[in-house]
Amino acid sequence: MKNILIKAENISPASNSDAVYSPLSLNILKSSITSIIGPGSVEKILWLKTLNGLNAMAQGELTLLQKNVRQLDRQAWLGLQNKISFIGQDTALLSAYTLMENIMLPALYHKLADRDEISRQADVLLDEIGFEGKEMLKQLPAYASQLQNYYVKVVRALIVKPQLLFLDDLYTHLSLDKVLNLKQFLRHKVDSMGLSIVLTTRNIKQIIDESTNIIFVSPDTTALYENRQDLLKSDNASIKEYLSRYEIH
Amino acid sequence: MINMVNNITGWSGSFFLRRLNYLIDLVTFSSFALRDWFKSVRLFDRYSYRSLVSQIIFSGIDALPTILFLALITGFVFTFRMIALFDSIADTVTILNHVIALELGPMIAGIVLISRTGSAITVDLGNMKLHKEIEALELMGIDINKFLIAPRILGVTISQLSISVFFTMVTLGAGILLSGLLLSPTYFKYFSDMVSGLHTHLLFIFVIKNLLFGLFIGAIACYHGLRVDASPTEVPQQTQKAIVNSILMLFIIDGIIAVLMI
Repeated sequence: MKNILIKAENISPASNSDAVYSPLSLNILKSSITSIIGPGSVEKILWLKTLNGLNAMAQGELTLLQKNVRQLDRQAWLGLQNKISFIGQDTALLSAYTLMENIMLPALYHKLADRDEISRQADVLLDEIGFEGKEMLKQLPAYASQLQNYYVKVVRALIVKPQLLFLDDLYTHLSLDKVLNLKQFLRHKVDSMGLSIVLTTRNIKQIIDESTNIIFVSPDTTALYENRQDLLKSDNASIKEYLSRYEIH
Repeated sequence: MINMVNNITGWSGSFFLRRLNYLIDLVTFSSFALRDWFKSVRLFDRYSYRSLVSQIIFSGIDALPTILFLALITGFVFTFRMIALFDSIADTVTILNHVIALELGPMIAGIVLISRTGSAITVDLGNMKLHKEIEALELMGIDINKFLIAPRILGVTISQLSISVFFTMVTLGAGILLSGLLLSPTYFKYFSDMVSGLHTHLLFIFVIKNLLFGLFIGAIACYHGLRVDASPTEVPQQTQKAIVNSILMLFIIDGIIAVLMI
């Protein structure tokens, strides 16, 4: 039971539009990668945020780290967030803090270790992710490159040693070598830390073989598959059309 | 005719209700922020403490040159002239205590705080909200009430009291000094007379007034900063509202205290 980090029972996201999504039930286990794929980014982010508890549910029950999200008050919700990290497309760094202060802030705030230890852990993570130009860590995010800011967001998310990491289209703006490097880095965290990753992606070729759950979402279809083979066997026309677009056979 | 009366009463009623709603919102907002702060096991954890100290440095210490300049001018214009105008020492001391210490000091300190700090807080929080930095903090499990709001409100409150004390002392001291040097050395006696004329109840009102001014300036600035939603144009709009509402609030509090003192 402790290995189940997310337990979703017949959940579907509430939406501002008239769209009604088919419900989904799944368990997300420790050390797993769950990919949310599909033709529309709106549906993918909606499902990602619903599984994270950030988006309201139209129906169903969601248990995050053994806690039912409907029963959490504000303080309990905030308390849960230091075990769950989320990096969205528009996740921001604090503009008034240096890159290093940004990285250390959540761990210091939650008093996970003393300052020196957190700084050492940040250094290790920055080396592992391949952060170049460490002298920039004393600068504000506005003076760093987009890639440096990007890596800082990932390291800041991991410095608290989360059990769950939610990523919204992480690989989209990266070159292929950076994608491979980041993929390897995150794979290592899944294996070594027991981290579970839930991600949306357009770059499905890069992730589909790694995934332990694949959720296909579109306005009319919500389907769960355990691996690439299961997905390829699907008779659903919209899934077939989507896969052929990416030349996945 | 009936329509006109309806329009007037309708407008005034709606204006009153809007203001009342605003006040309730504001008090609830600041109460929740301060409650979360005081509920902490350690009131002054590293980050809240850092925010509080930064706020006091920016609002209080950095404002001292401006306050010093204004206090010296006011000392010359008001204190010096009042001492020169009135013969009775007792009356002069009473007037100076009431006008400078109870009215001018808190009001000028408040206006300086609103223009320097209140506007800066609204712009700062507004931009943080606009650029989703606040959302990022909450997603990291950081309570913005404890981390951002309460330290700012408390910082402004402490600064208001401090710069008001500083302003009042410099204004009175400069005026008496100038009178002693330019008019007659006997006026130096006002130094001791002012101290003995400062009764406990006046000090109490002075402290309460400044604490209320500071609390409302900080709360209004934070409240309007967090009301920025998605558009950059909302930052100047909310800043302007914060400044106007803060100034109005100072006069309202001042008026209420004046009535209570009668």
